[in-house]
Amino acid sequence: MLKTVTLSKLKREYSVIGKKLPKIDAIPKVTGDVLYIDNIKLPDMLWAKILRSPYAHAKIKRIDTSKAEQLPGVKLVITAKDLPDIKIGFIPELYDHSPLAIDKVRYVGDEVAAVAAIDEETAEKAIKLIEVEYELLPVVLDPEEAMTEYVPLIHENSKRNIAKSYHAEFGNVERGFKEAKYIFEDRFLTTQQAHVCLETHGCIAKWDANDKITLWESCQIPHTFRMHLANFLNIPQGKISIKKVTVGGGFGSKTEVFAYDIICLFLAKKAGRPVKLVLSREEEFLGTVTRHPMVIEIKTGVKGDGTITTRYVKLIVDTGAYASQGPLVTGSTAWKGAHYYRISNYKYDAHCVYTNKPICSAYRTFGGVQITFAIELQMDIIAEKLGIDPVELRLKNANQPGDVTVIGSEFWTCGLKECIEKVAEGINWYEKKKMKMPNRGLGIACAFMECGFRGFIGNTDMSAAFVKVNVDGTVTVITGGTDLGTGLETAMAKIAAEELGVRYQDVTVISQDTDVTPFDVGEVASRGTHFCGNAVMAAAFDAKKQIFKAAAELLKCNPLDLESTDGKIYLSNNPSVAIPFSKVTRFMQLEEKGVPILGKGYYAPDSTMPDEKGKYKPPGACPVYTFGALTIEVEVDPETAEVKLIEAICATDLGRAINPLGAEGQIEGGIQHGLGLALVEGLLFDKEGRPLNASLSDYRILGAADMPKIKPILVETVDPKGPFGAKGGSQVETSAAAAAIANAICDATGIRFKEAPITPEKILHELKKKREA
Amino acid sequence: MLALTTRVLPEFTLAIPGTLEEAVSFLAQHRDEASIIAGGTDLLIQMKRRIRKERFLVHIKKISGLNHIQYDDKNRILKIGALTTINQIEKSPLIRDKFPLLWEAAQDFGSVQIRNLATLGGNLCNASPAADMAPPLLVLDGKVKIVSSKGEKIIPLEQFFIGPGKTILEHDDILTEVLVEEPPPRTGTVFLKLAKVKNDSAKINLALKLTLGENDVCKNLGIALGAVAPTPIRVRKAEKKLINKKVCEESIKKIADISAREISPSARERHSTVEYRKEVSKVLVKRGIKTCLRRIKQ
Amino acid sequence: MRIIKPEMKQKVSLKVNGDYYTVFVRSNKTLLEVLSNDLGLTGVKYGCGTGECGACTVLIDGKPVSSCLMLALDAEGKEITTIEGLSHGEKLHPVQESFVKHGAIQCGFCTPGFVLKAVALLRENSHPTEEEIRNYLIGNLCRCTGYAKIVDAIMALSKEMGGK
Repeated sequence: MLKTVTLSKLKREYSVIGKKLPKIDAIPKVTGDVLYIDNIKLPDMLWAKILRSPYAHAKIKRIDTSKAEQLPGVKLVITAKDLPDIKIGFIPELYDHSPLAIDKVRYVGDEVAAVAAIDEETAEKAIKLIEVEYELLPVVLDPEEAMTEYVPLIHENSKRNIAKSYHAEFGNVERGFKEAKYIFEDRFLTTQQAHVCLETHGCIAKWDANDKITLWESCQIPHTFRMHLANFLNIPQGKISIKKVTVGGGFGSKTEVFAYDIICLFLAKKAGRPVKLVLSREEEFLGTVTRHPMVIEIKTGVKGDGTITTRYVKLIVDTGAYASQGPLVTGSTAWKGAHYYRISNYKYDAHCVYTNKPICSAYRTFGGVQITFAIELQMDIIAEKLGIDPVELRLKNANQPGDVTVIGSEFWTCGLKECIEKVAEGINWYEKKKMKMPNRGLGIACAFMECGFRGFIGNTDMSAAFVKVNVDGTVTVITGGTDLGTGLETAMAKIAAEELGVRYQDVTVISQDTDVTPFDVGEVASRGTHFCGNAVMAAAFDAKKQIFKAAAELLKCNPLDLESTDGKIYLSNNPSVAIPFSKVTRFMQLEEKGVPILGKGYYAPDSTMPDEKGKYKPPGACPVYTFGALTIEVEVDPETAEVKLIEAICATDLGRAINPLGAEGQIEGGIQHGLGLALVEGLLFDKEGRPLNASLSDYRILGAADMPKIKPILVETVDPKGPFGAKGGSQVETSAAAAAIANAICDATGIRFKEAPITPEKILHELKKKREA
Repeated sequence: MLALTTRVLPEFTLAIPGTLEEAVSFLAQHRDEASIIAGGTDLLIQMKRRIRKERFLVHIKKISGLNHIQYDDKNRILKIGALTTINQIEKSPLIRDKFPLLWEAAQDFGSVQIRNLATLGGNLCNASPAADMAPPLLVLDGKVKIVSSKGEKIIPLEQFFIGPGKTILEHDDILTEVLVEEPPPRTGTVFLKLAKVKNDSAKINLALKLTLGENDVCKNLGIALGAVAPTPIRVRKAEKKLINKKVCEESIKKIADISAREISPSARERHSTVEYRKEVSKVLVKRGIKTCLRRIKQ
Repeated sequence: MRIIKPEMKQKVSLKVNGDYYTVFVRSNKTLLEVLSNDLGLTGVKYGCGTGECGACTVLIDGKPVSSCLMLALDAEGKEITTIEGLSHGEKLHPVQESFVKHGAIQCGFCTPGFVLKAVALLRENSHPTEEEIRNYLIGNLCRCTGYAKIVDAIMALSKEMGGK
């Protein structure tokens, strides 16, 4: 039953929506009471370890596991020959990844063999006893080089190492460029960022003699995961139970079935015992997924007055050794390029390319930070050439509510202008620009992000929920969504509480078990609050209808005249006629009726799939879209070129902040990722494809003493499609941060960098050149 | 073999001597299969990474007389026991008062959690070219006391480091104490460090000591740089250029330029470039001298 | 001189959160492993094993230490405090309360480490400045919060205790 929200319901003040309340899981987390994968032990459990390839590209000639098998305490040693012919991946036509390498390895870290032993230390010793003979193959590390003719193929069935290509044109770019007064062509590069979740990946696999599978996993998408796993193993979904354990950070890295999952499952099946695996930090860098490095070439046509009309984007997306979600990220990045500013002509050529490097997949913004980096840096180039202030240029071209983009996406709400104005005001843009303090620089960037995405797992994008009302009037929300620390469960509790009219403290949320929860695509694309929220709201409304019917019997009135707040049900035009919520629920379930109160609801939005030309019917791939802007001030030491981050102001249009502290926290956290990409992060490899910095002592992320002061601003455009007006909003800040800092450094130094990361080494090198000239 | 594990330490025999003699004799017996474990903050990481594979670890924290911060009033010498933690150095009022350079370096050393475990002896014996405590001790003409089966000897720290991760210590040598003479009056010191983020090993670190004599002429200059050569080093040629001269913009620039020529940053370093570190070494020397001047005047 | 061979288990008495526990550990077991595996304390965690991330931070005699770099044998005779030792029954420690109130917790993995660090900081310096707080937090990484509300939570306590 789809709940339609009438505009009159969208008030400004609510009982719990928008209030700063503690998160549902705050106390268990602050006392160390929650269980992550590493905390879970099962009886009779074995530990697994994986032997990984030390070479980036090599044929496997021979594997000898005999010494490992003989080590006391080792129960199993497996290689590819011990697994059925399974290939995993994310897109059906690109299941290209054997969980254990069959004939060759394709990157340093590729899984070659695995061991199950009675404890971790024994498993560790055992994998060192496995002997593998390799025949080295030439290594391909550069995606542009990988696409040329005489370079070895990483996957034999791909053409020129291209996993997938996307091409489309909307409007007429040739005419658009002809009519433009100025044309800008620029090339940008971004690097291979690692998620660095504090919790490393892991799982506990159980495959019992009844062929029932239970998998405990730190996972963002339990239902989609189960669906994919059922497909890979050719086992019905009903025989697979995914227990989503507390997730210690995801950011996109925990949104797929990994090789280690299949490995642990088969170890568990053969051993007849549960098998646990927790990756080390080094394996986390190499054996999971990372962000796609990209080459982004942008050609933009601009009218004399600064109106941006035409854009052409060429993308080379380096997806690493296996496709995974690479094609989706490639397509999404190309798709995103249509939404920046009000262009009427857009064309893209995008290629998802294999290289002999760790796998690239989903990572916060799903291509957004890369395309934003390119577009927003070029915006400043345009502003400089035309003599227009960077803020003014963006305001001039900003998307507006009611816009339908050239690709077909429709923005019912769009707070981009307000975001830009607020961040410019917050940092005192115009005054500071006039003052022009030495060594200081200001930068601004805008960003756009989807909310949900039809096409992520085919022609569907939905969430469902149950709301169970207990005998005593407390409520249990059952959602297939996932809280990664993002506050989803808190938001769902608040939405249920607000809709039902009960206290927030009386709501618990269950989301951890696919046996219990209804199907939900999962936590990706900032969809949680909007999609799960709408589903929960619908389910709560359904439960409320049942309760009001009974309350109306007890109060002898019309159920349509009733309202509920704070655990009380009352006549809306005579609140003194009231009955406690708990009295009605007890009445229904115990005293007279014995009727369980279960509300069910779902949200299946009106988003659409593209036609063969890539064009959408409104509203497009998403029901709603989010926007944001960020300004940042830096000080660059003229002699050491060190960049000091002074202050960042970030505004995001998230529709409605169900959970203001949570929404601010998302902004503040996302900025750390964006700044990291632009300033210090990125996996490095030598000529042979061996990682140079795959450890936390070498791969550095910004710490508390490195981060600037952040002022987060929540712009509430109150979208009628969302639960209480909520959209999504935890990724635009990441995209905007990376671009804004590059613009700020240019403002401070006069040097325009087009490659991330922008290090003091690079800045000083350019400053020296400039001074010597 | 790709060393991908930091979850489990490899196995080893742990020897727990009660006296220095016992420790020395155990080390002599097992030679390069044995190493001392002090704070463990370098050694245990290297063992987890299988970079070091010692079968025997000699645990010396129970030996008395290795953890102290003492000041010999008469000879004006500071004695720091090798097992003194970096945190103890940071928190010592004596060091803060008389040897602020050591306090400055200790403050910037790793994180609080590491400072509470890491020892001065361990930092020196690990001999990373970027060791943060090395430049300050070098510039203060520090000495180290070494005990072995052959007896006891005291050598200048400048002779201690011989290469990246390498010292003159032989198998059964144990560094027991660091000795530092108090600088004369009208001496300013400074410790500077550049790193990628605030908790990172140095791209370059510098300790500088300037003593002024009559008429504000330079009586003594010491400049020690780390992370820019196979070992932490004193740039002696540069230092000599200021003796008996007035400190001015021109002389400072000359010293900075010579310092940059005396260092040899490795091109294999991943977190910075040769060009950058040569350039900023000049900047740090310049800023260091100016800061020392300012501190003397205060 | 005691010689502990790799396979020998030593009887060790660890004082954790005020209680004495007897464990049998081999020489190569770190304090992190013993606290989490042997004693089942879920608040102290593996994040990197090399003392960089702070997820394994515990207090030893009140001082923050990376338990992944400490041999369990070395922890005998010391007062070990983990996150579990901070709250008393249902009463949270003021630092914990401040973290909850200010929204400083997202995925929660880094939280125990930061809380213990903050407790140690405020014992040492009851009203630190923001810069002092940020510097003290070096060695504890967070990928969710950008550190902003963690710093806010500690600043708020600092002000309550008379700081600026």
